[in-house]
Amino acid sequence: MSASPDSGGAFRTTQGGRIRRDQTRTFTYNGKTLTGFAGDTVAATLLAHGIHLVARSFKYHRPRGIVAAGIEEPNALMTVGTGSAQEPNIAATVIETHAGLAVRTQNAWPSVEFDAMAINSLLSPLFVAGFYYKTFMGPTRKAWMFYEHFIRKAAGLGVASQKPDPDRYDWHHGFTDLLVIGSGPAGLSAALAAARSGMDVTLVEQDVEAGGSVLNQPVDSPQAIWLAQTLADLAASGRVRILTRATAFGLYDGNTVGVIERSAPGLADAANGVPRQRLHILRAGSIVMACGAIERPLVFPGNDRPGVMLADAVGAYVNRYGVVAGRRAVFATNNDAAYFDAVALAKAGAQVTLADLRQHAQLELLAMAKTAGVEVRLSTTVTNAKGSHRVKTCTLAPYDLSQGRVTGAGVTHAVDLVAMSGGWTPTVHLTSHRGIKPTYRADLCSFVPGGFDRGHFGAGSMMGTQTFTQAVQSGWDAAVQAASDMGKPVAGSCPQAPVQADVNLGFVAVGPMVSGKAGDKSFVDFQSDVSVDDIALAHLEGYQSVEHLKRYTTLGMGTDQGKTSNLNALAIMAEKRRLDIQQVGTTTFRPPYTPATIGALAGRSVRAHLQAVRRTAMHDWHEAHGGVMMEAGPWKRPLWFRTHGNTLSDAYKAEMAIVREQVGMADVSTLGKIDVQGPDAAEFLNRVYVNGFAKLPIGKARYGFMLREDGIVMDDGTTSRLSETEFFMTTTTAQAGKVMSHLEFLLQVVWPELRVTVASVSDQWAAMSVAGPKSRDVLKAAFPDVDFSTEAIPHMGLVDTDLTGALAGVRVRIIRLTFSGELAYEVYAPTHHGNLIWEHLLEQGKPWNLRPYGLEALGSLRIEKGHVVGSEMDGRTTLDDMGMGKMASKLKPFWGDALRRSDNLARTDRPTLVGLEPAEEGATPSNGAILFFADDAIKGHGRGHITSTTYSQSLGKAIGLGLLQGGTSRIGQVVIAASPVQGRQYRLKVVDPCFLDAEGERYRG
Amino acid sequence: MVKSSLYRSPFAGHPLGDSPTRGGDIGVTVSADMLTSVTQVSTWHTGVSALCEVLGTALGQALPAQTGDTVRSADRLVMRTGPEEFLIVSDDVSDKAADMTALLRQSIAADVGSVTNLSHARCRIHLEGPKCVDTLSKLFPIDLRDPAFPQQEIRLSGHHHVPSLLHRLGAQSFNVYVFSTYAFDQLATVLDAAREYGVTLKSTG
Repeated sequence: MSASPDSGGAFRTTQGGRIRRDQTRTFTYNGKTLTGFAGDTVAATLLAHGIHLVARSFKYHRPRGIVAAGIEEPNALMTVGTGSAQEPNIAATVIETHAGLAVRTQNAWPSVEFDAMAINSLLSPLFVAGFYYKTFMGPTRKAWMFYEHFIRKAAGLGVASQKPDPDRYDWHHGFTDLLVIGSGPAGLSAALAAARSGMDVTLVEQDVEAGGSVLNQPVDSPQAIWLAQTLADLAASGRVRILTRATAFGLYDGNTVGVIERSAPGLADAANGVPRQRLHILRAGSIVMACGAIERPLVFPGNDRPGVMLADAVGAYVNRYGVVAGRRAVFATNNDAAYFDAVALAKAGAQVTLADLRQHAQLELLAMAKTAGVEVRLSTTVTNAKGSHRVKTCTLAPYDLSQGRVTGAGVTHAVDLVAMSGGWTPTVHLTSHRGIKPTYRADLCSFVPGGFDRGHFGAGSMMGTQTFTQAVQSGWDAAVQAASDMGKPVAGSCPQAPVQADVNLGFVAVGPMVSGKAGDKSFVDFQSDVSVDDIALAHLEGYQSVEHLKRYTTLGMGTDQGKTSNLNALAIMAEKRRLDIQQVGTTTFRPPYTPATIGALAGRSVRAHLQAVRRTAMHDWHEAHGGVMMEAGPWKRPLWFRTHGNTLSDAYKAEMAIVREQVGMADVSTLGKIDVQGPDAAEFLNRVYVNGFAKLPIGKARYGFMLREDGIVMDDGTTSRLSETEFFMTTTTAQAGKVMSHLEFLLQVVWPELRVTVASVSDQWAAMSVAGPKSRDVLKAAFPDVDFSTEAIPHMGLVDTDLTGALAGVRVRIIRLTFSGELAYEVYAPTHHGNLIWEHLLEQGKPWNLRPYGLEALGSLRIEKGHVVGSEMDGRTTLDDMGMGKMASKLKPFWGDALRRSDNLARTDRPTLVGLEPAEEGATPSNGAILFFADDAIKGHGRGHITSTTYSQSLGKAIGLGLLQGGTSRIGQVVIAASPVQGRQYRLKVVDPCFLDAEGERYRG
Repeated sequence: MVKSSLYRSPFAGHPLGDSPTRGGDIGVTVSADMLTSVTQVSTWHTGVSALCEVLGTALGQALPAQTGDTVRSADRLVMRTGPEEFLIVSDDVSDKAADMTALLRQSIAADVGSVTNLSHARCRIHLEGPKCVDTLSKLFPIDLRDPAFPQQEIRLSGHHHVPSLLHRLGAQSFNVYVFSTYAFDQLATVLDAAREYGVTLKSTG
């Protein structure tokens, strides 16, 4: 197998790999068309065409190339798509090529080949770690804000679109007996074992196909053959669901795992409901984490040059993608795994030298290398790499492992590829999400999970297994343990795994090696542009803690979360502090493991589905008749009607006049309604309300307040007695759910001895308030069989009646009560009849010009009467604050009574309810303005505030309600209202909160 | 299924018809209806045995033994929605369904339990088809696998904090009982969730 100048790039082999050579894939890269094959990633295609320079670094704008072959890629971040579909910061190593794909480089201008901001490299002394605490600080204190604008423009990653996302996202709530994370040898083995126990298994894999590290092996390798057979066995079991393109990004309480599944290219179809990404919230009985391990770089000067790559990645590009990353390669390693990658590259026709810093290597490896034509040099390491847009030379020097240093002069070699392997780092992130600190294993020179929650298990190289066989066995064992915990034995034993070429794969007895001297720019974290010098500087400046090191240098804070850099940094820090690595410790990995789109997290809860929408039975009528709808929590309610004016201001005043002068009708279906039944129902209500309900006569309603346990007002409402043991309670719209919960709590916890049931009937009844001097006339016409005289239905009286004639079969409940202060009736009709009754009333009300009115007018009418709503009952006010203290019974206990008498709530200087009207021209009260006495300095919290305002159509002036120290004892006085937000101050006169008809003659008529 | 000019369905406004996948498939068939009769019967924690005795006699049938169980007779479905609570649903217009509340109140005295008419408070959305489980899994965080949710059982769940009562009729068949004031929106949500799989809306009550 050797590189071919044709077919998908000059650096493509003629055969081999997992790509499908019969299907080409064309995409644009920076506007230029490139062709690869199905199964390629963008990175693979770029390398196949010899393109290594693909990025500029974050801070210094140094030329950067592709380093890895998977999600750990730190450099090759691209922007995918254009316009509203543009998505930045996607690693080219995971972008699947497909028709129509457009990718471009980022953070470089005008191009990655010539980037004007490369000047930052020359200015690097100004941009050392923590520079924003030390430089750009003058000449004035505000200077930083000036510099910051330019610094931000100069550094960074990609740019997101500001346009609405055109794609669709969705959620899936999943449940599974066993969740296996990772589909390498360990994960697949675990899934197979679990399937044989009868467990229902879900296997998630972030790659486009299952196989994990096996995908980077030659397609004819024993491991690959094992993979194919195992996948077939899993499919045959019928018990395993494999999700590919699915990344487990977070591990949460209750064995819940967040997984984001990407759709295959070309499948997303927003118009037809097919999402681009799907968030799975997976709840598992048990979890086996087989997350693998990630290779780490060596640290030496120039290790960030394009063409310096991870050794495993080089092998992956050959074996999986049929791409030769270079033709004159040096492999520098401290472990066995790189030998296989070197051999693979050599077999593809490259000239390969392997520098192993260890004194000895296994004979099988040496023989394998020799057969492939790989020159092996033991006790040798790389000390630098040079080149600008591509590595051109590297220097190999003798290295003494026992002394831990370079011992001789190096020899420079001409290269186009340096493949480095500094060891392997288990992927411990998910256990870290559970707050479990990893522990250091000196035999592996790596951190492994420090433990697992109950029901969680680890397997494979994540746990430090060294060989393929060990990984397979560990996965099997983990699943057996998980199954046993769930009482399900596994049938059979672990199938034999291939043992050929089964030498120790990656873990080493040699720690990370750092060579070079200060100033040589040896990079530790490629993505965040953090070098050895930065770590040394942080140490010098006293940042001893690994947490400080991270935040001061920004190491590990990029989109890759430091996947290739963390351990090397810890090793350097340990050396500086003269500690063991385990004493240095680690920072905490937190979700997400890889970047997660906001779209996926939001799922389908966007736009029309952002939240639940609640509609009354008359909703369509309102919309069809000029109702301007507003949101009141989940409800849609008509705020005003266009038939009454062109603007809100005109319309609500007209609607107020309709009610005061004639008759209007408002949709009040949103009120909470609760059915209270039982032998002890009256006693229950007597304890819940501040005023007495035990003796409420049948057929009568009563207005009441209920308090919280701390004595603050919770809600008000009207409760009617339907029988000895049945009551019909109404609540405010906003508090309906809270009141229902409150009643349930009282019955279940506080007074379980009471024989009472409560049931929400808010949805059972539509409701409409017919209000105005002509309301009785309208109702008499609409319901001729009902006696609406004051004797029959006095104020706060009610009647249930079955309608006749054309409306036979409909039962309505009518309660005479008022919110507006006019003669008024609330008509309750079963919901599905609601629109019918509404239209019936409008029809019958035509002689009196009955018209609908909206929420704005409803709210304004009650202000004229001084009736309180949530603006006054705001969770801080007491009965006395609102002038309702006299309602509280002195004869019976009620919920909240004890604490309403507490010192703070019983203070006499608390602000209490007053009315307010202008005391000078232009003094229009505004909601929230702070009230001051006339001789107060205008500062601080004042003496109270304005709670509600409106223009009174009846009085011809602006009015308001407020809470003011001294309350109604200050009637007649002038106060100052100050609105800092509006920048206004004006004088108001304190008046009685009831502006109209204080004697109630209108509603008693 | 209520048909009368006196009624207006909360689902009115949703167009009937097919929205297939690109490949022409329909994975979920949906119908939405008002209910003829829905009655909640409940008691306090000391009243359960007395209520069960009286209710069973009144209905002339066995009652579901535990919360989550259902018992279906020819003309009605009795669901145990709580330790002290039953929900009775009837689709038979000839069952004097509108009088179910009054009928049960004749048998169940106030000191035994409470009878509440919820016939207008609940509507029903029916889903069936090979993709109805996938559709419901988008919305409700409950285990819909067969062992966890057997046929003929009910589960209370919610989407956007709005309660919904799911009744599994078959492996690929569910009724979802929703609050009437949320019904229009919840049907929109179900149809949108099913859109990916191809969906047909057959009726809106």
